[in-house]
Amino acid sequence: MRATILTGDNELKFSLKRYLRFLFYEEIKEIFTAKLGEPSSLLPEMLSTELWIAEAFNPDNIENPEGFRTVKKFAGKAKVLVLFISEVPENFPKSGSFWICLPSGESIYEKIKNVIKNPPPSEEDYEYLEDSWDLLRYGPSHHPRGKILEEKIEGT
Amino acid sequence: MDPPTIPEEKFWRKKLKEPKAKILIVDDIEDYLRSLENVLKKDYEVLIAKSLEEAKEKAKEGIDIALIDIRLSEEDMTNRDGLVFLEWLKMNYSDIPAVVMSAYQEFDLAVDALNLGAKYFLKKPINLVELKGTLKMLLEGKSKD
Repeated sequence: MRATILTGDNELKFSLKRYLRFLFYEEIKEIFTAKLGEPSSLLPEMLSTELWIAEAFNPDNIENPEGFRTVKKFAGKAKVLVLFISEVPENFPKSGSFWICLPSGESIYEKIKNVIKNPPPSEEDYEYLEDSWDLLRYGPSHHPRGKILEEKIEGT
Repeated sequence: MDPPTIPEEKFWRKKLKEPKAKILIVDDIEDYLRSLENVLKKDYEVLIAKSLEEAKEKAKEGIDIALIDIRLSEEDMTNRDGLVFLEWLKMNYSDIPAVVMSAYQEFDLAVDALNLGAKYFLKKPINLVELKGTLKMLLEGKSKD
């Protein structure tokens, strides 16, 4: 099995990578990492990884569920664990078959084990979470104009 | 025996005759189009298009590579015509490599773009070194196919 870790935070990314490497070395043979807010960190190989562990929200933009939207694209195809690290609404389910709100008393090891054992979450599974929290439906709507090119080239 | 060497004059004559690779840039923002055109026209023949229909027409003229912005409308925030064009391009000219660019820093859009057949996703503002390197690599790859 190959896994992709998608987080906005480098420390979390490296911790998860080490965790998977040391505790799931039998199941997970290759680990890719990518960063929320950095779409160019996506590699074509990641699209076919069997497991995704993703932070639901971009910590640099806490109202943007970029990670959740990304893993939803793999509904029915990839096994997923969604991590909710920021505050969630009162009635939001704190844990389920493919998500967990952190910090939590639950064992992450067992959580990942179960995710690997279970079939990939379906579109309806993701919609259940969206129904519990409207913000998860939020799509990108900004289009910053800003600079045109990163470098100024002489004569242009 | 040493292989025969090409005289310098002959080499340069051949080089100058080689047609430039044709790049189609698709973006609704005039500033982006002109800036990219200015930067790339030294090394490539640059075609530009500001809409989905215009992009399709230009692609039919024959291109070597497409550089496509995801959103092709300033007014409509949900516009994804760049991805519509990418899908059309891949259906009709599957061997033309495409690079998608966007000011959206959204990972899920990159997943859509790569799933539709884009080779790379570049974030705006475009890093010129990255862009030139990507184009060079794609064209070299294409000439090997």
